[in-house]
Amino acid sequence: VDPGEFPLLLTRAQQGDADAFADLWRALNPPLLRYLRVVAPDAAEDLASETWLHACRALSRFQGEESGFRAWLFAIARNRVVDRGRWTARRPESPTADMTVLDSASSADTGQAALDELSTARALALIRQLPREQAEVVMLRVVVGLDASAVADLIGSTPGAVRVAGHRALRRLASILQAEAVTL
Amino acid sequence: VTGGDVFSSAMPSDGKPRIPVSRAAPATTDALVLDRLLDGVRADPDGEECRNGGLDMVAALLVRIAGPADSDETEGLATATAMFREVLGPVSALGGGPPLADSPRSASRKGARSSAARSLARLPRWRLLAAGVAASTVFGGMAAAYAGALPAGLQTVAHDVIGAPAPPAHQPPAAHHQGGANQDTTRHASGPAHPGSHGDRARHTAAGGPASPRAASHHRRQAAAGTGGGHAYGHSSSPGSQPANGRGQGQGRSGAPGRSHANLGHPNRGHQKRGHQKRGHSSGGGNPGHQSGGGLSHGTGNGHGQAHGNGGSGNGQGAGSGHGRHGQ
Repeated sequence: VDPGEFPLLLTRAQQGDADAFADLWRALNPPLLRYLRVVAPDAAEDLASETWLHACRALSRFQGEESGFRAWLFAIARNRVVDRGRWTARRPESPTADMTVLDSASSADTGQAALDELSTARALALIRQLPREQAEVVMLRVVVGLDASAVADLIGSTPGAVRVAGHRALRRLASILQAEAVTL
Repeated sequence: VTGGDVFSSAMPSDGKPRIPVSRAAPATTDALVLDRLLDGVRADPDGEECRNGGLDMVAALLVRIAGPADSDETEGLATATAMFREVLGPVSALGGGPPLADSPRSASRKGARSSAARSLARLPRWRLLAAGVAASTVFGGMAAAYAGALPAGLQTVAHDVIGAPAPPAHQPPAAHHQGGANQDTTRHASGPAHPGSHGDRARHTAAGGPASPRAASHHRRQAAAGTGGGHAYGHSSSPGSQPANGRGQGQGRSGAPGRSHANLGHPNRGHQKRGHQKRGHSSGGGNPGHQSGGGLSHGTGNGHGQAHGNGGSGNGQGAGSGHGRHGQ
């Protein structure tokens, strides 16, 4: 969402304008789904719907700019993820594996060639191999576009810790990719 | 400074030398590159800075996950918009549009109700559970008190506090069998008879004297056992009589004046309705105002009787309420 247009868009959405809400949804649902597919892959779509439902209910009370809205929306999403984690802890399930994640590139070319054909789902699957906190930091920093302090506020940490976690995540990701490139 | 030790991005573009970043300090270099990647700067995966340390593939992956939306990520727009209209529609109507069909009063009631519901929902579950347990305990205790099902001590407290029936008279076994003439044990007789002390499951009140052999034998048993009466909530009637309701309490014990309450109009039949056995029958016919029970009874008629009995050898209590009819 263009930060310059965001205040008007938000005001219209708060007044019940469905078109304005659709603009917000188009801009933020893809990163929301990607974030949820990393932190809660078995229920990403359900959690996205719950997140938007809660956002709609609380939309009239939101005040802030575009980056604040993004942080607010993903805070809602993160709370949904935490709630679902508690719920599934009480009722454990064994979901079947996502077969699309298991798809691997058939090309035996170089790793760069494989990366060129890398689908988003495959990329998210690689991110999921990171530890949970590191994967979350990567998604919030890169996909959602929050800065270190906003991520720290969101996950209850410090900007320095967020920065360190991000660095470790990328280094680990590099090693994973090197290993994957060998096997691809 | 040779080109082999310096990244291309670190080379000066204006001819001024810059601090070379060599591979001898990869951590610092990596930190800068990693910060740029995390900040979303579109690093060129083919660039030398990314190629160093294997970050080129990481940069490509980050570009991928931050790329434009796939088609499956925007499929639910119609559903989301419908949900938005459903959730936010009434809010906008109440906020800016004309009022709905509800009157302001009903709207305020709805608001109060929803506010109360929200407040209730915010309560922790353990508080709701504790409140439920407390309420059930209080009401259950009251119900048990009025049913006379509490232990004697609690029943006495309930009797004093909330007016529940008094506990049944539990006489010490010695007192029952002693049957002394001057028993000073005072029992308030407002509850049902307690038959357990004598093994007698029924109390019989003969409003005009024991007319039936069963009642008479019962009173004889009471007298023999040292009881002078018993609680009796009775219903006495005689055919063809006018209805007369009476209620009273009786207390008869050996050596002490008892007070018996019965319908003493012209009863010739009485039904004890309460007692530990819940139901008993006594029948009798005779003079109104007299009650047998092993003692001297005095009663007043007209449907309300109060009999004072002085049990000869028994020790008992009686309380009776009855509906009587003037008999023939």
